[in-house]
Amino acid sequence: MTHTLYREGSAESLKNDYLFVITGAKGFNKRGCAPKLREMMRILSRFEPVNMGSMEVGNLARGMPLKEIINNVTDAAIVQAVFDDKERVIEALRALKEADLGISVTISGLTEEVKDIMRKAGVGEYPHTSNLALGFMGRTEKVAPDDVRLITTMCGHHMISRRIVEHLLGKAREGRITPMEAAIRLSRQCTCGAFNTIRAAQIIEELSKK
Amino acid sequence: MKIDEDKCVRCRQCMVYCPVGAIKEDEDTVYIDQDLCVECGVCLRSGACRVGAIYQPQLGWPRILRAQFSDPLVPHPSTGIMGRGTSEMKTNDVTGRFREGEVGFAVEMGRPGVSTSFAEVEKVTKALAGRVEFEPLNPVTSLIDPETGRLRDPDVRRERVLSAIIEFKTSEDRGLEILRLLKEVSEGLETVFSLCVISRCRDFEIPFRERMVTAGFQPRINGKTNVGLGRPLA
Repeated sequence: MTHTLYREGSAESLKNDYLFVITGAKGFNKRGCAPKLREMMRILSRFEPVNMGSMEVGNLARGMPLKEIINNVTDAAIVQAVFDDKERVIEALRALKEADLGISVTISGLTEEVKDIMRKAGVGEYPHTSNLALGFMGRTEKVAPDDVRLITTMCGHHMISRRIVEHLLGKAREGRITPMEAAIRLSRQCTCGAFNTIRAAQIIEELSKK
Repeated sequence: MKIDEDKCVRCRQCMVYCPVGAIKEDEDTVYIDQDLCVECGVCLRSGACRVGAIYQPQLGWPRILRAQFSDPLVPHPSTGIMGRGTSEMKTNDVTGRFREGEVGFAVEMGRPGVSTSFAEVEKVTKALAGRVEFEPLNPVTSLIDPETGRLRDPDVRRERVLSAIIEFKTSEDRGLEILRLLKEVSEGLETVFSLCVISRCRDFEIPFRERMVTAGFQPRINGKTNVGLGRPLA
């Protein structure tokens, strides 16, 4: 699906938000791919992801230990890993290429930056396939305000309600909770591990000053 | 999802967690509006209810569709995997599902955060039928007649889900026609949809992108890139 595609924000806000999505291809290399997925997660973990996991197993932000996440991954897993630093993404991608495990890898993030990451990591001559987001259409007056969507769209399956964001933002404004505490509480709602807790805390800090 | 009135202490802690605002209160009770509830499971998993008043009743057809499309921890029977869609371009380097000269689309009805009924989904699939190739493994495709775009079971129309993804492809030459059609259809909807376009790359460029921009469809600055590490390469 398209759960890592619709994150909103300016280039400045998104420049430290990259997601790896790794999964086997049904009917091609999915059967028996779990050991390769586990190895790829071990590689990614060396580069300090903000969050990592899969829906079936759980993720770091929901409090699951890394070892347990990796050990429980099955062939069916769609592995996600979130990074907040471009240089570490380059190094992680280079390491995945060197491991040459043959499992598909996608990176969500600023399109031009991802191309640059690929060049610097020495991965292929050019990307294989691209998925471009065109925003949303229809009864647009029904969606949450722009500021709130900066956070809610980081949860791939939209498990984070606008109301909990507004509730915690209010608490942060009153100084009853720190931006990071608010971000951690929000991250626990995201079941797949796509939520970027560091970026969420930065956004809450900025919004709480408004 | 339901709230056991006998256990509920009306603390209202659960209300802010609902992504669609289905938890309501009146003078006597806090309750879940069964028409609005999409069975996503967020309220139950949040741990907000300290007295265990929130519970998941057994869901029959067609209400079970709400959980299958909304709760990412419930596998969809048509795909056998958790989540609302397919692996679309995530494995295209191996599957070759989208080839050069083709454009893929994913229309995610109800996103971001508005939710949708299947009656709204059907408005879009009916408009697309006969013009595109619906993805056969997609959960929405499993509910429709691809020739007409109509839901096979009319009882499904009233079911609400957090989002449902319509996936299909067409030729690059027909891509703009489909984008214009989707824009037109969107004007008659009671909900929203998020839209994305999938295309094979050539020399770090996306050939269909320029045609989209020229026609007034500006992609966002961020997207998803399959870097081509899958093997054997399609």
